[in-house]
Amino acid sequence: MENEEELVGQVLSAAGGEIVGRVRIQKVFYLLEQLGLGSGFSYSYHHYGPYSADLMDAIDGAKAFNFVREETRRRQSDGVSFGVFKLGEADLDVPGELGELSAGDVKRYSELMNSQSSTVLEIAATIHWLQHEPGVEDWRSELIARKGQKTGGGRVGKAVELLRNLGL
Amino acid sequence: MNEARTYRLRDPVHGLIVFEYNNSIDQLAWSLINTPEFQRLRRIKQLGVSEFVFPGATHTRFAHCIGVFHTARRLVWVIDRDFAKKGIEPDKYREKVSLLAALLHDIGHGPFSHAFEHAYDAVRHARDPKAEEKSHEEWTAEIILRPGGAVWKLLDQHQPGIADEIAQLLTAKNPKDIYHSIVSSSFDADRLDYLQRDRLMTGSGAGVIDFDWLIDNLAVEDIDPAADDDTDDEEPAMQTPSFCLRERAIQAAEAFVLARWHLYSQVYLHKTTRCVEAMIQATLTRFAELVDCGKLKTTGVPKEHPMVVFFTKKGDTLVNYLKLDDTLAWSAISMMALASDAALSNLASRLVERRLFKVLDCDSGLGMDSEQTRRTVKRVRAAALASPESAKFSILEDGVSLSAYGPVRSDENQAHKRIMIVDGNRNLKEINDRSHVVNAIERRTFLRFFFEDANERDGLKNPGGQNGK
Repeated sequence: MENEEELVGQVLSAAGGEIVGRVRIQKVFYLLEQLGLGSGFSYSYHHYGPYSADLMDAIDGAKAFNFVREETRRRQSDGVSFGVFKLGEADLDVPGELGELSAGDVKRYSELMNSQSSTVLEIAATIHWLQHEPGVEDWRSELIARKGQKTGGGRVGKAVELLRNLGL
Repeated sequence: MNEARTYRLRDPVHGLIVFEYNNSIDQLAWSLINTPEFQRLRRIKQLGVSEFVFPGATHTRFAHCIGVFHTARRLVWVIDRDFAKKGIEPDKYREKVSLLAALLHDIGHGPFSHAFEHAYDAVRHARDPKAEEKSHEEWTAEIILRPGGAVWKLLDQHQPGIADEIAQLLTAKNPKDIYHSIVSSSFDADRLDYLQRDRLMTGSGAGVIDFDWLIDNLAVEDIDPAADDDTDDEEPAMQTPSFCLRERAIQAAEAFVLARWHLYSQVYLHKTTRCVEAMIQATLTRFAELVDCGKLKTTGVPKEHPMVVFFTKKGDTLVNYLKLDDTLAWSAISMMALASDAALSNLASRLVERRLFKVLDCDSGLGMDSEQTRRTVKRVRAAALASPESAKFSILEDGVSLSAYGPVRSDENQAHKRIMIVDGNRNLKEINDRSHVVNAIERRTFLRFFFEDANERDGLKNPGGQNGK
């Protein structure tokens, strides 16, 4: 698509103006794409689940055009740094519809996703990927094989519930 | 198995490497080195096509793997020392698994190392859009687990089931114990070897690491494997053991990070090397297209050549893969230079004669601000998309994002590959929270386009002779 940089800013705006974490922004866009965002970004499977190099490139572009800016913060416990994506200063026209989704849909879905940790989002996106891309029948076993201890602590249940609430 | 005696190798990085007659792991390792699967690595260069830029960089995966085995022994010693202090009994079986995994970790590399991997993935994706990428680690696991293969036979004779353990260790994405850290962590044996070996063999003056001090200051601590921003206190914390560095070695850690940064930016991601890799990918992609659509005769390569056999649909079996190496790939490319297909012949003959495409480096040298650079990128991409079928390989794109930890191949650096510093109270902090030097390294995207025609590049860079606007 021609205006992928603007799309990043538009989704960020509809999602409340901020997305915390590079893993989270990837999973939010992946799940929104499945819901009808229509970005055309292609995804492949990586360490944290479905990932789009196209999206990463579009974020870089959105930063170049100042639709988006990225701040660095640190996790208090061990100082691990992470990125926070916020709206930039450039004028951005946010249309009422983004692909097949209304701006209200994007807001509602984003709120659902933001209520979960990024590990739960990672698991939810991975479950969806396993079911629909390689089409793994026993996705639970494959999920455990790929995600290890991340699948503990009730995270799989939360991920399944999130997918259900999103209608995926 | 070989006769039980002491075997010795001399290595340019580690000096004398000894395989003791009375050490069963050493003896098994020596026998594994002598399998056809391992000997194939003599014919695969460690740095692929970096020798186009650094003529000395002709060292092989063979030498690297032996160096990694040797380094892994030092890491096992670190674990034993740490466990002894804590009163923990080391798991000797897992030690053995990790040592053998270190030796075999690259046995699945194909010709030109990573360049072939990307080309093969592109071909697989073109044939089946739902096909997942297949990494060299997966080939490695298949080679180790091939019943009837020389590697599998030796391992199974030594201890039934150990081949499965080694393959699982090498393909596990998330660590389950400290022995995983020997083959995959911020201080794994692989990078501790290649940083030294690649620097030495390229002749680069950059990238020195204080190896002995790093090893002496490694400690085993539990780290949080969650994604970077995951601070949800409601979920139970995750912990996994990994190598961390004592704070007295923080300067050695800084040097280690800088060494990687310099080697990546100056050697691995050198624009000319990446250009050759992009041209090889385009060559193999075109070759596979022609094979797929029944135009093998236009490639100039005979049907019995292992490259044809492998790239024929359903020909990508393990047995056929094991026949491939750099030498065979170059022989095929030499034949492709005489192909009747113009696009293939052009790419292949340019590679053989080193007539490389011309680079447009968007990371530096455009003399534009970030917005102008982005507009140039979009203009070039649009031109590449609009190219007629006959010229679809005339503009090649290459983009890699590099952080202080190395290339960012997905969302973020993997949690167990962060460098964590441990203080006297066993509190952990990521190195960029402790070091201004490391913190100053900003993520950088290396975005390049390679043009067959320098005039087209210049026209797209400065349309109408203007400065990129």
